[in-house]
This record gives sequence, C-alpha cells and structure tokens, in this order.
Amino acid sequence: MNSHCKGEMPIDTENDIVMARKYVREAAVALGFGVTDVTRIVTATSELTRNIYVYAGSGIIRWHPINGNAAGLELVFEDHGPGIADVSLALKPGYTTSKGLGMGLPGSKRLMDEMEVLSEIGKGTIIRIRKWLKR
Amino acid sequence: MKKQKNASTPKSLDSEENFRLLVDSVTDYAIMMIDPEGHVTSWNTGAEKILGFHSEEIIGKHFSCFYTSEALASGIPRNELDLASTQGRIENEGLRKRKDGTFFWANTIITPLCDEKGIIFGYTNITRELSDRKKADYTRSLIEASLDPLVTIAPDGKITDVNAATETITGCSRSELIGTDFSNYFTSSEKASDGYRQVFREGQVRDYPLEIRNSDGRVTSVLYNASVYRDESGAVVGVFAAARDITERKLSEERIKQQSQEILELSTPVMQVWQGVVAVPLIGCLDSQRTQQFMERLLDRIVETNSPVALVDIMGVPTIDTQTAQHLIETITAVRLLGAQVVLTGVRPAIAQTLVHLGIDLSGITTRSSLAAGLLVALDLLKLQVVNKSDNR
Repeated sequence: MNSHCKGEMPIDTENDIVMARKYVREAAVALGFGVTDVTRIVTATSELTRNIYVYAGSGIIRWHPINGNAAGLELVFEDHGPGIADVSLALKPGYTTSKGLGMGLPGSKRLMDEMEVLSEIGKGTIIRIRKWLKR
Repeated sequence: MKKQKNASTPKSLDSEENFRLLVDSVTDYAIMMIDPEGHVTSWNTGAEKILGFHSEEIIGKHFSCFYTSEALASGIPRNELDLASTQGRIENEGLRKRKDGTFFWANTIITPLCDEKGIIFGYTNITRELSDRKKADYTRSLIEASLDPLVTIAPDGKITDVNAATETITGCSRSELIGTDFSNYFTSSEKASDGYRQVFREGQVRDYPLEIRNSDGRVTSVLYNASVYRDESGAVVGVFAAARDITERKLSEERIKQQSQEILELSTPVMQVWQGVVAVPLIGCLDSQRTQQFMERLLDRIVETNSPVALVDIMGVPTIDTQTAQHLIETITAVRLLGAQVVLTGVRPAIAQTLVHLGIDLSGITTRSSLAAGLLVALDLLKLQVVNKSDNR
C-alpha cells in the first residue's frame, strides 16, 4: 500500500470533480480492485462530489484503505451545505431537487457495498461509502 | 599624549609601552595589527570585547574569520588589504562575524604600515560596531532594494511609509503617497480597505488579490501578504504589506484557459464516415461545457451532411456518471428531434454494469460494444449491405 491509497482534497469547482475521480481511480487501482469495481468506485465518487458541488458549493473528499478482517476502500464526502431534509426520500430513485436524473444517491448506494448518510438541515452532510476487496 | 603625564612618573615607562597601554585601554574600538598576508599580530581589549576572541586565540589567525561567508566567497578581505595598500587607507561598512557566530554591522578602517623605504610590513585595522541608527539605515537599504512594493498603513488607512518599488508601481512619489489613503491606489478602493481592515482584525492576511492602478492608468494585478507590526510595548502600530506582481502568472493562466478551449474544440470532431452516417468519438470527461459544444457540433453536422444516423462512441470516456448519462440522453433526444437516429457505441463491460447499477435507462437507445458493430447498424438503417466481393462471383 502506498501513499496514493490515502488522501483528501477540497471540492470547490467542477474541475475538482475530475481531479477527485483521477485520485480515487489511482487509489482503487493501487489497492488491487478490478476494472469493474474501479469504475463503480470512480462513478460513485463522481456522483457524490458532484452533489457537493451542485448542492453545497464546496466540501471535501477523503479516502483511505480499510484494513482488518476485510480489506477495502472507504471514501468520505463532507460538506457544510444545506443538508438533506429527508434522507430516505433522497435515496429513492428519480427523486431530485435539481434538474438531475435523481439517480446519483441511490445509484451510488447500489454501486458500493455500503453507504451511510448523515445529514442535518442547515449544517451539512457526511456520506461514507465502502467497497470491499473480493478475494 | 597629555594624559600620560601622570603615568610617566614615577616609573618612567618607555613610549612604546605607553602607547601599548593607550591602545589597550580603548574598549569601544577593536584595534588590531595585521601582517602583510592578513594574519593578526596584535589585539587590544576593545577587539576582545567586540569580536569575542582572546588575544591568545586570535593572534596568528587570518583576519578573514571576521567576515561573512558571502564576503569570503567574493574575496573581500584580500581586496580590502590590496585597496588599502594602493589607496593608503580604506574605510567601509559591512557585516562582521563574532567568535560566537553572531553578526554585527561594523565600520572598518584599514591603514597600511610602511617602513622608511615605503615597504608595507603590515596593516592596522580599526573596527567599530555601528550604532542602532546605522543598523536602521542598513535595514532601510534592504527594504528599498526589495523588488516587491512594500507599504505601511496606519489604523485609519493612511499610508505611513513606502519603498521605491511602491513608487514605481503606483507612479507616485513617496511624498505624494505618504499621508494619503491606501485604498486610493487600487481599481477597487472598497476591496483595498476591506483588505487592510481584515489585517487589523485578524493579525495577518495572505495572498489578498488587488489591482494597483498606476497614475498613467496601467493596472497591475498583485497578491498582498500583510501583517500587523507592534511597538516595544506590544501595541499594534500599523500594517506592513508586501505586494507581489502576478501579471505574468495571470497571463499564463489566460493562456492555459485559451489552450484548454482549443483542446475542447479539437477533441470533439464530428466525422462523416459514410454517405448519411456521422460519427463522434468522445474522449475524456464530459462536463456540461463540453457536452454543449459536442451537441451543437453534432446537430450542425447532421443537418449539414443530411445524415439520418449518428454514431456516438464513448470508448474514450473513462467515467459515465448520472450527469454524463443525462447529457448523452439529452443529446440523443435532440438528434431525434432532427429526425435522425443515434447509435451509442464503444460501451465497455465495466461501463455497462455501472450504468445498470446507477439505474440509468438506456433501453430506448440502440447501443453496440464497438464502433464497427455500430456502423453495421447504421448501414442496415440506410438499407445498405456490405457484401464480400468473392461471394458475389
């Protein structure tokens, strides 16, 4: 495992989404994920960083390997935006408050093995996603 | 020699001994003798006090050990002896090093000692530590030498001091600047006042962007680093602000922006691959700006070439998230409005799985895994057939 597998970067512009995808792709490849899982992780990263950019304006993404009984990659998306009023509604496919498809949040959940959404109105949102390395 | 009147009686010391006592009693000046090569041959109490060496430590050593390494590198100690020899005397100011490694600003006079025939048998070196005022002059000379415009601002926003670089960048003289409002010299005086107020409030500010307006109308983009400075009691006196000219950086940012615009144009070619078939190989990430570009070009080319079929190849798109998918769907819908059809090609297995997981419905769109397979679909739609010549015979 090298330094690529762990990192963080602020999300302030649309270009940061591209950079986040690049870094997370490098981390996932370095950890030994296969092509399909790498694509899934990168796509979920793209969705969630775009949510930060679109809804909160700015935030931060962190990623680090998970070690222990099972190995994997955990990513944390944190912002101090408006928060999500109804998390279970936001996780329903097709629900959107912007002009999007309403697939980003539920889609990301399906792409990953685990997802936790912590959100408080007016305070912000923390989303934690994990993908386990299959052996 | 009046003073020695008392000392001369009753022991009647010889004049050389008297002179030695006189030199030794001087404590505010380092007085030393140096041989023609530069080695110290005698050393007084003042030298011990100012430079820190005892006479037994320093006698026989070369006097260059009092100089900074920069001065040594440029051969200054040797030059000073040579100049003293040719000019009969040399006086200068500069940094000198003590035994403990600390530096002080010194005035040094070196005079050659000649015998009756005029042959130099050594030098006297008289070194004096300069007053605080002189140190201040030295500091001032550094401030003036700075290429970055420096300014101090009072709490009421009035300029209290500037350096030469500030005069150059504003086109105003020191006397014109001092006492006037700092904010007068910027394109946005409001932003300038906000800036120094923030420094007073927070103690310091880094990389604060402002534009300095020269009296001739030219505008320079700068970034300010500024902090408050205090008097001996610790009370804030004002703000010290240093600007950095970022015109060059701005230019290169502009250039990069322009180039990425050019790359944007380059990377979405719409090619006619058959009579009635256009193809777009998409490469890289599809953000909203690029999709807009790509959509416009594709629609234009479809009309221009009167093509009923468009092949959109996504082999070179590394990630398709919901936004990219939405852009693609919108583009495909727009093409349909023109009465043409889109075949999405280059759908890689990993992308296909991701799209399914994301829940994106592409069921209304014809997709193929390769461009070649897409072209066959297109030809089929045009009621054309590719035949093997040998089969035809």
